[in-house]
Amino acid sequence: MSSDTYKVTPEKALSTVPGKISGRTLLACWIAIAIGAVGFFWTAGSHPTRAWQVIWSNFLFWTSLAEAGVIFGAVLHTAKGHWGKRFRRIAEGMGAFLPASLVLLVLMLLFGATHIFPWIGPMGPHRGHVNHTWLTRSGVFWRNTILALVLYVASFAFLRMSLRPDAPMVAERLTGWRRGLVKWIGRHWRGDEAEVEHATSNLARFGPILILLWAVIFTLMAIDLIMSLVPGFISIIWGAYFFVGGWLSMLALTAVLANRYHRRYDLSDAWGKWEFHDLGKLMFAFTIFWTYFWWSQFLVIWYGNLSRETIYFEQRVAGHWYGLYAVQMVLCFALPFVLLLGRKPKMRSGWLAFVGCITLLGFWLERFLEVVPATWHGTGIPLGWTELAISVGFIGLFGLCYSLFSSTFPKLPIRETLPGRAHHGP
Amino acid sequence: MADHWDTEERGLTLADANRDIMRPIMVSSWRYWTLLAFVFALVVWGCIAWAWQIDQGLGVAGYSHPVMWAVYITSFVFWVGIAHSGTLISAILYLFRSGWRTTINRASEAMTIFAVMTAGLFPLIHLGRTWYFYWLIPYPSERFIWPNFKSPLVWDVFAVGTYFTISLLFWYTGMIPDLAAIRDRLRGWKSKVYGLFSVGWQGTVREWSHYRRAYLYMAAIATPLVLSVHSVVSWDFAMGIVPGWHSTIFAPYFVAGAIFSGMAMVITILVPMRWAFGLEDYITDYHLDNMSKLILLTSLIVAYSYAAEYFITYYSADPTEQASLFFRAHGSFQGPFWVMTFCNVIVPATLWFKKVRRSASAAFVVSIFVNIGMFYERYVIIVSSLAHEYEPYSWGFYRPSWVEISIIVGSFAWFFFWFLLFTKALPTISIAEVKEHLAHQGAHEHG
Repeated sequence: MSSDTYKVTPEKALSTVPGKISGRTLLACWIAIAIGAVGFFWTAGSHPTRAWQVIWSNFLFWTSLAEAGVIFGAVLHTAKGHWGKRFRRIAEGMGAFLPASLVLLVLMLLFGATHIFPWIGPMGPHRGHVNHTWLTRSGVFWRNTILALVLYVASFAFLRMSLRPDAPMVAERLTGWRRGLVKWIGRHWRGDEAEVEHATSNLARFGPILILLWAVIFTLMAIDLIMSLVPGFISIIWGAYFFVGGWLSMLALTAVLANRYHRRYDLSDAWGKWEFHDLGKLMFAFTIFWTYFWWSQFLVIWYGNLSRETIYFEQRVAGHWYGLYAVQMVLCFALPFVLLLGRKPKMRSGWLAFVGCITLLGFWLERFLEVVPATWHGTGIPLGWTELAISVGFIGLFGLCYSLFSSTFPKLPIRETLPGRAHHGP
Repeated sequence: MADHWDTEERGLTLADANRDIMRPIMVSSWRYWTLLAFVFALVVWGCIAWAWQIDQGLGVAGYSHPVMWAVYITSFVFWVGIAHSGTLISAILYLFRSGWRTTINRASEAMTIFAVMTAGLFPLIHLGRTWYFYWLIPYPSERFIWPNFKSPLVWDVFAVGTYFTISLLFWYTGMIPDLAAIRDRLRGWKSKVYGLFSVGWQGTVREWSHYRRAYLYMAAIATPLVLSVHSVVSWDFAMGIVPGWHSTIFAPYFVAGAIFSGMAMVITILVPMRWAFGLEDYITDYHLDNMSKLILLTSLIVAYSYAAEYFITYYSADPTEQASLFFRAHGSFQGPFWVMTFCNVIVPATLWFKKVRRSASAAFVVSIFVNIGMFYERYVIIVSSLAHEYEPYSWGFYRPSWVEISIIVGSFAWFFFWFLLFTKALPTISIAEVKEHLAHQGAHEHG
């Protein structure tokens, strides 16, 4: 079990702030983004649905993961989970993707909606079992844009509160716009004990509100952006199934990133085998939990055998999609379950990162299969160079956003490395 | 207000733990026996009503077509739900290393056992011809009459049976060191009985090592059961295509509801118990605060499920589903529906305030509301859905008869009867874990 005291010094934590993105990383991100852009525009002219559907699935994958990163911090503050505070910054950094997510959402709903939503177009109004009062083009656009904006603003407010106690110390190491931004985050911060206590209690109060917003808003977005792709399909668990999947993806990416930084900055004093064991247990538990949600949905639909429900699974387990769907279940459940079963493997950061990669690949496929079987009406499975290129573009975009955060903020919460603050946040 | 259980501040010693926790076993009071006699009388009344039903047939229950599942099944689901918190507190919180479970786990585990025993009565009562209960069990049959394994009712037999077995073993395993402690304080035949059940426990390092490992493994085995048992119970309904029942969220929603009601019942029982046995130093405001937070969390999940159910019904544009849920809120069963909503969503919202969470009397009142609300929730799901299915000609109404009400009252008395016996015969708080906590805190305080 993890010890309750940090062994790292504030200086060591501050040394994880490079102050700029390395040239190699920056180049790699921009090349990846360029590949994605070329892949999209190359295909969008001749097969717009093919281009937009992979944008759609990547958007869902990266957005659900990024928001869950911020929620990880909120959950730790709310539940006073001391063990996870060391991984908090790693997860919170994923929130840097949210502004890009908002821009993408607006573009998707403005230019991609007609290629994706089956209830738009000449046949749209005549489809049965569709609530045409709820599902209108303008309604979906404004609703989702406003909801996403509210959630992302709240998430950034939370991030600011979480980063504030470290900001004055971090700002000293930075230059240019980074210094200005971090100074703004930490302005008027005195750093005395009373203020720290006050900030901790504010975070613990704001945490539950943010979690509630996440659950409600992501439920509505999952219904609009995924469930409505299969006209008539209903499943009450859908929203929860969506955001629990995002949460598990976030844990997987946290394991991957923690392994990387652990090696790069020699952070074994902060992230020892017991910390990775705890993270591994959480990944294992949520692998089972997500599968439980999947099973709760599948079993009831299979048993009830109502056509408006079975249509979702029929699209995915019939014909050529079946193999891919089986692979997705192996990647999301079977392999992580087996690989995380033992105690010792969970203590090894490299192993955890390996399992994290499997889970991430599984959930990328899961989001792909949530969207594409419903929108694709061509032959075969549209999984080729176009999909690969656009997905690489998303990796580049997410990587760029994350690098902006990780080059500006430390990988560990510094306040908690100060003597006497082992048990306290923020 | 302390944000942990500060035994140092309360001046508790190892000797205090033995004395305080064993006091109810060693000392008798006329109040206890009077209460036990009253509860027993109610059990007898319930038995008489059941005997009357067996003699006269199920016609004396209030069943009327199409409502052929009513308060008996409601009670079954309610009591299985109550049984959840014991395993949650014992197993899951143990795995999460939540130290606050120390003084409440034993009573919660006992509550689990007695709640499952109460729940198990209702399928038998509901059968009418109770003596054919074994038809549900897949015993080797010479006549090749096997139960239908595709039926969720058979899944119930496995799920509840497994849950009961594991909960009983878990409870017993946790009690072995305490039984030995009682054995050592008693003389004569009582000492022999406790000695028999403490299986020769001497408290050696080797025994403790094996005991800890066994407890950890049992916690790991019991944890999935928290999810499985009420999921299976929820599928009794969700597998059907009755409007209001057929829902993919039922499994996690029932599990959350079960933890919600189970935690509320723990507070309902623990608050009077700590007052009656003077255990305020052991079951503190800090413990109440944590239990209340769990109630608040599960209340929010339950509220989310209610909202999701109504929203998806609106979204579905399905007139049958919409009519069923409209009927639930505005039809003949609107009273129970609004009681349910008030008790499960509005009242627990008061737990956002720390003062309410840390006040024993306020938390007790909230827990009573939650118990009522959760009973009504099961009633609303079962009865109002059956009363308003697809065809208008088959819509109906249901009102429980005096026989059903008597049996329900008797079942509550049955539960409390066993719990009262438990408080007299066994330590209601784990002595071993309290001592471990005291030793740990002492070592921590003194460097």
